[in-house]
This record gives sequence, C-alpha cells and structure tokens, in this order.
Amino acid sequence: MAAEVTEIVSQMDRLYEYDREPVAESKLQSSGRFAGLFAGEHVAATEFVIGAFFVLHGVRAADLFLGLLMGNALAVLSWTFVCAPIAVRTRLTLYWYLRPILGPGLTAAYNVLNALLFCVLAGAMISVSSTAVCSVAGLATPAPTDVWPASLSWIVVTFTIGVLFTVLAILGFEGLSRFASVCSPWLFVIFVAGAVGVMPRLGVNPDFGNFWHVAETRIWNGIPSPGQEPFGVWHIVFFAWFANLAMHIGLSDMALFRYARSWKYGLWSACGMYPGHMLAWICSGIMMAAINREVNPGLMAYACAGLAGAIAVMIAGWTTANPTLYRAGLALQSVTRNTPRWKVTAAAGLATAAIACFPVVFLKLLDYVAIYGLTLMPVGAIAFAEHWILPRLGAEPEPARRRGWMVNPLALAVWAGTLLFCYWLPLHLFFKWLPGYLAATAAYCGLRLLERRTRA
Amino acid sequence: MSRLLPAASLASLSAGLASPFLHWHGVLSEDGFKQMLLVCSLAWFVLAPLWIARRQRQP
Repeated sequence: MAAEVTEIVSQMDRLYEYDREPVAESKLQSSGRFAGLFAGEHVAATEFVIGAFFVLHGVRAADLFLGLLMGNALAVLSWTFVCAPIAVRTRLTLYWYLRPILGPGLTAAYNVLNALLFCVLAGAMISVSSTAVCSVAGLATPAPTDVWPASLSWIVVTFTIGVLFTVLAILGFEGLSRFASVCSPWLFVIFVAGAVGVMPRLGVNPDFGNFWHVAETRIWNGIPSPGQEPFGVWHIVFFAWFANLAMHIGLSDMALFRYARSWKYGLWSACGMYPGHMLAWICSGIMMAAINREVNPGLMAYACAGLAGAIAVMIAGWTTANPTLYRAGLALQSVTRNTPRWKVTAAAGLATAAIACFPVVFLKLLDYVAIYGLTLMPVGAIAFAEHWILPRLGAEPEPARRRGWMVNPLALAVWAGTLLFCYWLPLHLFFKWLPGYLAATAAYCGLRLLERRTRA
Repeated sequence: MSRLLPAASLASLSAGLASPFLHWHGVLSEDGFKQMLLVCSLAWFVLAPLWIARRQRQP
C-alpha cells in the first residue's frame, strides 16, 4: 500500500514538474494581464443559471444589488489580502506550497478530490448546454424539481454533448483555450443584449425611468417560486463571496498570482467579479423574469437573444467544461498507473457526461457551489495558518517534510473535523463556511502547538 | 489589414451590443434585433480569430 501511494505521489510530482520552482523575476506579468484574465474567466455558463435562480428564490431588488456589491467586494478583498500575498511571497502553486505542509499523500488526495468535484461542475455545464439544444429542437427539458432524467431525448442529447465535449478536450486543449478567449467578450455582449432586448417586454421605458419600479415588481419582487426557499441580502452577500471560495480563500489562484509583481494585483479580480458575477447575474435574472420564471437556461437565452443566445449557452458550457475536463484528466492520470492521459480524460469525460444526465446537478447548482467551496476550504485555512500565524507562534514551518510524514495527521484531523463541524452547524449552507474557516484555523494552530509541546 | 481586422472585429461586437438598444427604442423589431445579433456574432467569430492569429504572428 505504501509503495502504491509513493508511486502515485511521484507520478503527480512529474505532472507538476514544470512549476516546481518559484517563478523567476523575469516571468512576472503586468497588471493588465491579470485584469484580462479575470475578465475572461468569470463570464461562464454558470452565470446563466445563478442569476436566474436568485429570481426564483424571491430576492428583492435592493437586496440583490446591495448583496452583489458587498459580496463581490469581499471576494475581491479575499483575493487581495489572503491569496495574492501568500502567492507573491512564495511564488509557488498551491500544490507545491501544500506538499511540505500536508505531506505528499494528503496533497495528492486533495488534488484528486478537487478533480472529482470539478467533474460534477463540468457535468452541470453539459446539462446547461443541453437545455439550449433541447430548446431549439423543441425537446422536453427537466422540471425544476427533477432529480432523475425525465425523458430519453434529454439523456440522448445530454450524453451526446458530454461525449462531444470530451472528444474536444482530448483533441486539443491549447487551440480550444485560444478559441475560448475569443468567446469571453462576445458572451458578455449576449448577456447584456438578452437583458436589454426584453426591456420592452417587461414594460421598461426607453428612458430607463421606470426600471427600478419594474425591477421591484416584475423581476426581483421578493416572492419565491413554489418549492424555493426565500433568499435575503445575506444569502446574496455570502453566495457572491464564496462562489469562488476554492480560488481565493482556498488559495487555488496562487497558480495565477505567483506571476504578480505585487499582492495589490488581487484588486484586479474586480474586473472579473463586477462584470461577471454582478452584471451577468443581473442580466440573467432579467431574462428569467421575461420568460415567466421557467427554469431553462437554454430556452431563456433563446427566447431573449434568439439563436445567438442559444449558441452562447452551448459555447459557454463548452468553454467552461473543456478546461475542467482537461484538469480533471491531468489530476486523475496520476492515480492511474501509466495510463495515457487521453484514456483518463475519456473515462472522466464519460463519467461526467453520465452525471450531466441527472438534472439535479444544474438545478441545485447554488448548493453544489457552496458544498464545493466548503469541502476544500479547510485546506486553505491550514495553509493560511502555516504562512501567517504559526511562524509568529514559534512553530517550525513545513511539518510534513521535517517529520517525513506522507500524510500530516493534524491536517487530516482538522480537515475531516471541520467538515463534520460544518455539517452539524445549525446554519444555512451558505453561511457555514465562515465559522468553519475560523474553527479550522484555530484548531490547526492549537493542534500544531500541542504537538510541538508533546514532542518537547 | 493590420488595422482593419481589429476595427472590423470590434465594430461587429459593438453592433451586436447596439442591436437590443435599437429594438428597445423601436428602431428594430424583436426578430430584427435577434437577426442582427446573430449576424454580428458570426462576424465576430470570423474576424476575431483572424485578428488574434495575425497579432500572434507579429514579432
């Protein structure tokens, strides 16, 4: 067993070999590049679903605007004050930063878990794309409460799209990534066009004078749809904050910010948050109201922006699912001995296509995004404690490397314990991560100091 | 050509963005706005990759 784990770890190390060394001074990037990266990354297929669901959950207009302003500001501050400073000081990816802390075994487990969680997210993207095809073709799409696939046509279309995305992910990631960069500004135009195009249908005057009245009475009117729990301002604040929890508090974006000249580059994340996670969510909410709150992102875009809208949903799903499948294939390759990457990506893609057939993955997207961030958050807390707190308390850095641990038992206990703590915490799912993060940081510091005392 | 491609790409994107406003102000019908958006989208996907490819070839 130990030999197998060692083999998996060495395969994973080879996979990340190219970024083992800290980034050299000459490779640092300009601030404009960070602005462009964030602007391109955060207008995706999920935006068609998230903004629409806020309408279904009966958010009031004032709560939505205030919540998005505050939540996105907190997300930007998390990138700026939590993620970017550690990345700039270490110039390492999270993988290599975690390795001497968690131990090679636990770091590999973290990577594989991340890949599996990504696969479900890619499944949701495939489902969203499938709604576009079904809407244009006049085929049945799932009802808002569906968990299981409701029709054979849905399964056939969704699985076919999943297979197609997988084949494209295997054939050429680089070329498709370049194509995705062309899509980002266009997708943003489609969001705005879809929302503006339905203004006459919603009764908004061309001078924009009665927009707020229409927003409060016809779009975000505070009345949840049947079966949906009501959301208030704090739900929106926390959702906007944790929508990218794994990236900022979870420190995944160290991979990006290790190229930054200053930690202040974290502020450039605002270029992704406010157009993508504010304006695009508002636009999809407006479109949702215009189609009488029908939970069907494909139909919504088709009805509001025509064929270009349906194509946008399809392409947004693809450009989001494609790198996800590729990264999942990379991570899973390390645990499958000597299997070619294309076979691993194909297997991950087919499993993802099968997951996508279950409409619950996109109909419960908000909850899934919360669970995804929550699951990986304790590792971010451990890394934060190791970087900022424990050195000030006199603890030695890199505990797993110093002790020769394959798995840091303290980190494993804190990770599992935090998830159990969050599970039992009597709070709404959206609010659990913050007390969980604080508890994880405190518990890890406590355990590390206790372990040092018992050793001494 | 080096200036024409970016100008034409951005013009197609801008025209796509303008189309719903033209519909909102009663200049275009709903079908007209959707058709204009589709044509502008197609133009963007033809012109923008050419622009990017040309920029990457330049030293």
